[in-house]
Amino acid sequence: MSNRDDGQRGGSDRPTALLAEISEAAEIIAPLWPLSSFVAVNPLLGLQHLPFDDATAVARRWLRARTHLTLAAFRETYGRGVITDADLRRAILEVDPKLASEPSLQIRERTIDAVEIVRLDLLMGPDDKPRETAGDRVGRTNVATVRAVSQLVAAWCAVFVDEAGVPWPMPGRQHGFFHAWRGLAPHDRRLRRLAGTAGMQWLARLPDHPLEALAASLDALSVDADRRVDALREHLGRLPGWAGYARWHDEWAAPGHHRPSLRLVDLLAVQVAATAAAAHGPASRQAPQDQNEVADNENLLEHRVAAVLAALGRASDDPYVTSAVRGVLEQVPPPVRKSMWLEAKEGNFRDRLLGLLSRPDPGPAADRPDVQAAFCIDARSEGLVRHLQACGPYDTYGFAGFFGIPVRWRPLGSTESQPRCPPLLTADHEVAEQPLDPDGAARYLNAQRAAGAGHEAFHYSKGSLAGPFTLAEAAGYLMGPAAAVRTVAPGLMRGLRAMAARRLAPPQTRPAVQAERDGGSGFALEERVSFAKNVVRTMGLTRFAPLVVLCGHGSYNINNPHASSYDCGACGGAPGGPSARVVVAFLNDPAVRAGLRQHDITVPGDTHFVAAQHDTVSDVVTVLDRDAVPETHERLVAAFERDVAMAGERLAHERAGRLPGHPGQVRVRGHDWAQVRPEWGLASNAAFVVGPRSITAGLDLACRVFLHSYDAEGDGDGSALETIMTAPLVVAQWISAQYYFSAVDPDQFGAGDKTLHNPVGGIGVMLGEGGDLQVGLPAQAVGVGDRRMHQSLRLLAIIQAPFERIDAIIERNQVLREIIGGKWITVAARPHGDEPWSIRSPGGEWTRWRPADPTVDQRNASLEVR
Amino acid sequence: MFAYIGGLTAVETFVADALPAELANPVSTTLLVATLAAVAVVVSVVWFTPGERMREVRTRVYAFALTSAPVASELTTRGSSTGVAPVPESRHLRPDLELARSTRST
Repeated sequence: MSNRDDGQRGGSDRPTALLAEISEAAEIIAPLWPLSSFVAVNPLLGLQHLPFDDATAVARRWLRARTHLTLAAFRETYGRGVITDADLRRAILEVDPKLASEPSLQIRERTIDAVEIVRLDLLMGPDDKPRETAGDRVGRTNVATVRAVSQLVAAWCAVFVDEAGVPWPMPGRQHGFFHAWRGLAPHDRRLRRLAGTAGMQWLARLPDHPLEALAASLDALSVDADRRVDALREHLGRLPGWAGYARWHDEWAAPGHHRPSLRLVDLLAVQVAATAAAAHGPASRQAPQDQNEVADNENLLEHRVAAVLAALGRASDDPYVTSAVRGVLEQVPPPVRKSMWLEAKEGNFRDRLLGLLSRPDPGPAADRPDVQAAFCIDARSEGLVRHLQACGPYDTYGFAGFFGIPVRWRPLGSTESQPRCPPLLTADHEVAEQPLDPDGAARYLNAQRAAGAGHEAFHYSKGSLAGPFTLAEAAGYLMGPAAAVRTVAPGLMRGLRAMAARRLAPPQTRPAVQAERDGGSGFALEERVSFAKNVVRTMGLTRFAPLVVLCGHGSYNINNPHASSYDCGACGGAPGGPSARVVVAFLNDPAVRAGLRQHDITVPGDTHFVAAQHDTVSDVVTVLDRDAVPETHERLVAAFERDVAMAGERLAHERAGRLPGHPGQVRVRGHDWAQVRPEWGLASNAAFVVGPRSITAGLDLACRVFLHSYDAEGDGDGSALETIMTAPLVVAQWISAQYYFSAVDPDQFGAGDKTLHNPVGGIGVMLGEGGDLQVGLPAQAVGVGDRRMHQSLRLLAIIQAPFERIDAIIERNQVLREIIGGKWITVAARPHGDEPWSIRSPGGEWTRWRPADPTVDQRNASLEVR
Repeated sequence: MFAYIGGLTAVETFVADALPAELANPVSTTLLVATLAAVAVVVSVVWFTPGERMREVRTRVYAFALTSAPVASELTTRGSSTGVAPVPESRHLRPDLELARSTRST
């Protein structure tokens, strides 16, 4: 039967059915955003409708990933006292309450209950080994062939997407990935070695349409109809990076984007067609590798029983005891043991944090403050806020760093705009940066373009076919010493850059936010009023100080493909300063203030808003549009600058203790082009607190907590809380999940070793010269060597609001039902500041929080990562 | 080409004598220019000649250049040879190198 016949078999419904199967198979793959706008995403996003334990089981099966720390890693944490015996016993019963009713054993004078047997197994029992899969079948071939083919496909993906400055692009790439590959595959020597002549002849007869080719290839592999999704997952799971980028392209990319057009159906068609061709070759008929590990796993239970008996001081020849221990351990399969460890670790952190927050809420200060300052909810802001409040009576707020206004920001001189909002939102309005002095701006831009042209010419020469030969001879004499200075003395390079910047200072600009005045850039008046009202209400601003600072954040670091991962996630992986400037322009506008009065929001005439930006590498806060500060507020702004500089210095000192390297260099790490870890970013994040800032004021939360302001009293209808729970909380959960999985499996869910990163196509990095596109965060972003900075906990959401309001919001929103009901996050709440905290079970019941060990005073607990 | 020859000339004029080892006799400028020019002509013919036949040649050359090298990315594709995640921690992270880099005073 010919391939063309195969492709047409099954009638007209077949393409539709196959598309549905592709969609179902792709659930195991999370979309992967291009690096230039790095968006933290849960790597199991497509499986988030499943409970956490089920989703991680699917990931272990198809992605061959580790979804929890190893038992050895958990035990090491236990050894350091981060997890206690009380935590373990509580977690064991939380995961498997039935164990409480199991009969106890009497051994000499000791009574050993089932929980103790499981605890001993957690501490002493051998770890399970991953299942051997090399001999598993995919239709009539094996997964070893799929893997070998994936190596080749990864190389084709890399050349397909690499379009920036490439002197010789992939022939036919304008027709899509599948067609370009079809044109080149007959000449692929590596594929020929795998597939042999018969396989290459089969490939030549493949249909031209990718969907038909995919169907024909599945038929050629003899994949049954009910195994198609599995077969597709087997392929996607081999290249989750490229597949993730294809998912982003298909489902999340904005219309008209300029990124390479890699479609999921094209990628699968190439993968499966190449596998089907390779199935004709000798490799696919090789016998499976030895299955010793399977046998090992079958004996695991016996080894676990023996370990527990040894811990109890009993020989295994006591049949009654042995049988009883085996009976208990049979109830606790290997993955459940890791769930118990995870619960114990999370419980320990929860006890410490809720213990800290258990003091009654003192409420806001009675007097009108001189300065109010709103920072991004980002956990790094917590440290700055803490030190700022130690410098003076600042009234602080937390809000998502795009300040509730989704815009497309077009910097001065740029023809393109970039969204500055979370990926869950769409930015419909463009805001351009307009110069106050157009002539001066033109001179500045001309100088910038000249410098840019030289820079571009240099890099184009580096990327061309023959250029590097001549470039090394022509420019090496200049670039060599420059590279030496950058390597040996990054501080000197920083000084030179600063000197150049002073000589060519950028012109003063303003965001053009008024559509009626700025020719289409910006918002209409009623839109500005509406957005301003939402910002004020959601933030819980019920009074206004003479000076209100809105502070975004960004991260300056060089030679770092993942640089945008350190910027503001709420701004789409970009610095938050422009968003702060836009909101400030709204709130200083008399017309907007007049509109706000109609919504019962009165901004006093003496209140002035200013924008600022916090550089999280150097902990320097810069007040933006400084020239626009009126003389009446000059004293307050100067005092704020002085205090925030002091706060930044203290925070940098604090962070130096957590970072490896010379403490004195902590503020200039971003200027070192060899630095693999300019800062810790959001590593160690663990909780999200929604409530008045007074409940966390004065507490050291060790930069581990997202802080979102919320005033339940002023939100009678719950709309502000619903906005917080459905947007910032969900984004925080994505961030938390990304860090969690990047830390537990840096190779599968993370981006591996940063020192091997090789940027490709402007969209991602590979390790070395090829392979899959790396997802997640580099190993250096979550730890140092074997020491983890990120603790791999699921997010804990702490909300000060009435239970009924929280329950109603969860009930109304599917995404919250999934992530809370599925235990992706845990919710703790209290209705008022003088009541105890309660924990919400996945089923929706509220239980008063009690620490695992009531004898430990948690009111002064430390959240520092140990 | 001028930059290349200029650079080589500079090395030979200012650097070669300072090197501790004896350098081979330099290639004559004429031979170098002729060789580079010949390579440029061949590349230009293949690159710019229109027609289906030359397009096919270009495709073959492209595929040859891409696929004739052995795959060196064995370790960097997802999943190990046994189809499981590596244990215990990372295949790529070398703690000794990592610590040396991150504790370096800069």
